[in-house]
Amino acid sequence: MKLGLFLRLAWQNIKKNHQLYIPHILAGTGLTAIFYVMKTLASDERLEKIKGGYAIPSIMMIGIWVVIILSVILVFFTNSFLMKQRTREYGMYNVLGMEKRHVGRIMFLENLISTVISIVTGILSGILVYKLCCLFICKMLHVSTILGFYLDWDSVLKTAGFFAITYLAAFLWNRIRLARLRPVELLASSGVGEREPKTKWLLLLIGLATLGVGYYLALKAETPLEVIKDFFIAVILVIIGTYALFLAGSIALLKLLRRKRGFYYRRTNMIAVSDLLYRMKQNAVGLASIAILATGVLVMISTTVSLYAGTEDSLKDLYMDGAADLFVEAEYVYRDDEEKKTYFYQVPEEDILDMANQVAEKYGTSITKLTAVRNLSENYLLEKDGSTSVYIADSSLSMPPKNAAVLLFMPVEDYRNITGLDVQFGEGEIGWAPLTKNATDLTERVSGTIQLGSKTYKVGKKLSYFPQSMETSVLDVYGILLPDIDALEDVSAQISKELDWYANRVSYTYAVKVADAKKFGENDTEQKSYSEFGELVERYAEATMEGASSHIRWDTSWAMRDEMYAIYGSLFFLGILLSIVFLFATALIIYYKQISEGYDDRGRFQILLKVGMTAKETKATIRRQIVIVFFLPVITAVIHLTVAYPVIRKLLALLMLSNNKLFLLCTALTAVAFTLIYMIIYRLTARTYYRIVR
Amino acid sequence: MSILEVSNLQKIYTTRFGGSKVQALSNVTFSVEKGEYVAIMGESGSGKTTLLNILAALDRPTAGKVMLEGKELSAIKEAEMATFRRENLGFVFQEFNLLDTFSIRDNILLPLVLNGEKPAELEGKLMPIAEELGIADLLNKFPYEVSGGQKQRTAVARALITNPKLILADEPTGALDSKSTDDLLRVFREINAKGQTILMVTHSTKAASHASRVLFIRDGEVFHQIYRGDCTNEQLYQKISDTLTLLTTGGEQR
Repeated sequence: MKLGLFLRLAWQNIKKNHQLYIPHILAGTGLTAIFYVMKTLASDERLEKIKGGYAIPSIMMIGIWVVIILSVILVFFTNSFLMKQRTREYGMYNVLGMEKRHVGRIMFLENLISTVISIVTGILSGILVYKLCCLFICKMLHVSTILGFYLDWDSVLKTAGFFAITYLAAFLWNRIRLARLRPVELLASSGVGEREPKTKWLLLLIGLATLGVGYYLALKAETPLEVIKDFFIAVILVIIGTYALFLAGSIALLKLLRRKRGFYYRRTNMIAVSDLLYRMKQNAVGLASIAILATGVLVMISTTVSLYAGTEDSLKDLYMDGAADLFVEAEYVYRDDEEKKTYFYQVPEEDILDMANQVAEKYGTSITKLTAVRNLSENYLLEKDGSTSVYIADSSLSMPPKNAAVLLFMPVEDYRNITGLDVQFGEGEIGWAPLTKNATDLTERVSGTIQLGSKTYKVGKKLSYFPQSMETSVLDVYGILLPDIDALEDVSAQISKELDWYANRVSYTYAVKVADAKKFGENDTEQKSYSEFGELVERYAEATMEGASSHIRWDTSWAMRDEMYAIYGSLFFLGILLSIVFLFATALIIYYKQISEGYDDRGRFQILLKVGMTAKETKATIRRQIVIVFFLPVITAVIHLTVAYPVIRKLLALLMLSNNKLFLLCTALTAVAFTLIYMIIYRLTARTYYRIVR
Repeated sequence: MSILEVSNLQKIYTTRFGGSKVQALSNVTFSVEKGEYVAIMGESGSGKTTLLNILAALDRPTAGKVMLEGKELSAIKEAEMATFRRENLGFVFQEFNLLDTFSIRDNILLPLVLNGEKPAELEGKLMPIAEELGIADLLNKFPYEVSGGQKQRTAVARALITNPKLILADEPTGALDSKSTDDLLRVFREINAKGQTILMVTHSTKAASHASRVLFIRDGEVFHQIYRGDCTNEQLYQKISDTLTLLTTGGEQR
């Protein structure tokens, strides 16, 4: 009986306050649906079986944590907003003779109704959307689509459980606040004049300092090591700076404007400046949050899209502009225990070709071209008192000498073979190419000559291309072309003598071109060719030399392609899902901001009309303010993105994406798309706002 | 010469679906001379506020006309109305209607800024008025920091700063304590003595007893009027009281 009455009251309240409840429920539904989709993607065993599907669960798990954190924040935000808006109403019940526990019961029932609607519709739409997500993710991973309806009860329960607990916690929080309020306070309208905002100088300084240092770190980071180390710190500093500047900087600026009489006492400026002052006081945190969320969306989408769209480019870089489909390296290792020495024996080229062909034939194709690349890598060149010499160090050395540089050696003959470029050098000359950006000119660095092995060479022509990429190195890296294989062996011998260590031997890598690489891609779906080749080499080693173990490399472009599409495709998909969540958050903050401001502005609007402004003028000034407040976060986000752009580009280079044009394009497109969506949200929410003000 | 002429004013409110009609003003005719201080009295629901809204050009009459200095209000186009009101009329409201985002100074200056006056000239116009009204020390404060009487004086300053032809006051003492009421009425007397025409709507006998003429409205018509003549405030107060008694006990019209 009594419960029925309360239930009816609660339902009526929701209906009466639909302007507040519809967005609340919609946001809840959206969050629940996305949470369910992510949870199911993380546990769908059908996905584990598809090529590259192994990457999806772990990547989705990262996303789930982000959604959990954001959901908790959003649920508490909307609930406290609803509470604030409805305090008067609850106070009225109290005055009309209801006890607080009765009001609490109504509040609980309201929460129960909206929570149940959110969770049920959320999970139902999640189940429906899931199928679409599967289709989409299969497309992105370049695999045949998995069909069929899929329902994961575990995910349903966990999703419902998580949101039920979160909503309950938010309710309890409000219930405690209700219990603490006195009836008079419940009734007291917000009519008490807002205090004039004070300029918080300390906060302003903190904001300027953190933003400045954050930007500086982002712009200064040169080497990849700095990028990784500083980027995270920079992000946190910029977040702090954004909040501080929105809170303190905006008010300081507006107060400065107000002090400029010539500017302030003008028709268009006077009302705008003083109203904005109060708007910023009330909305700074919300606006800063939007700016951060917007930056997050922009960074997430632009990077994941770039990585995904740049997969083919990255593959091209890795596989010598398509000159190779496969890298093979095979040798066997022999240990002479008495002398504690290790010897490496290179497997003859024909035998490697033969073994690789055996594997290739198994997958329906054959090997067409085998190019040997003999090289020596990771020796440090050090400048001492102006003279130069080769300095050898462990490549795992954590702190290399400060002005050291890494040299990679290759005989000119192999260079010609693999690149097809006919480079010529004079007697006693070497060719060189910088492999890191901003590496100093080698000729200047060593003043013309360089001692390598037992000989001194003249530094010759700079090469435009070198078939190895070391963009990610902390030190300067140079590719060096030696005149012939003897020179290479000479350098190797000297290094070995000085170091008595096996690593610095000439290594033989074969770049292999496959007749029909697609066949491999189609037939070797489970990437067995690596172990099959390994077995062949193992057997070969046993047959030719006892007590030797083999050392192989079998690195294929098709396996790499699958891997890249799997990881980048999953990341891209996650980026989309998280962006939707971020957009939900943004829309909700904006919507509630518009509503609460609408009620405040209505009073101001009426006074301005009475004092002698036309309705048109009043509307124009209010619209101008709203537009400023509205686009401030987007502008901030674009500025953040612009500053972060070089760092993100370097981070992407670490992930092997070096197509800057593509990244620039993706970033610009993302920014434009985001602004469009944001404007749509603005249009929709502005309509509600004007309805309130009018 | 009369500054305001109201003739045969009628206002009928129709409810949204055209069902019942409410006659707020049936037939109001009066005029106000330049430099006069007129109080309009009447009970709640007598049509006072409707009359004031029409005089302020915030509302339009169903029939009849209002002439301000020979210009008919209803002939003014909607787009020019705001400018016309800003330049010719000053308003003082019961609820002050100050913008709480503005300092006292900015609240007073607002009409001038809206008129597009040069920033350099503002201070020169502000200071004499602020000093006359005794709020010169409060200019940098905000509405929430000052008392009700000070707020109302700010509103008066805002109404005066454009040198309006007519000041319309709607229950100006309604939200004030007795001391602030006395202060405000003294202020009105002073500005009236300097030649400012004032039309005040009130149901406070005390407020009306400061005026030079009192009009009584009942059921949407001018029921009676009293001229101050040589009366003191106290004598006028007594006359008004008597009239009000007559009004409420249902006397016949004049």
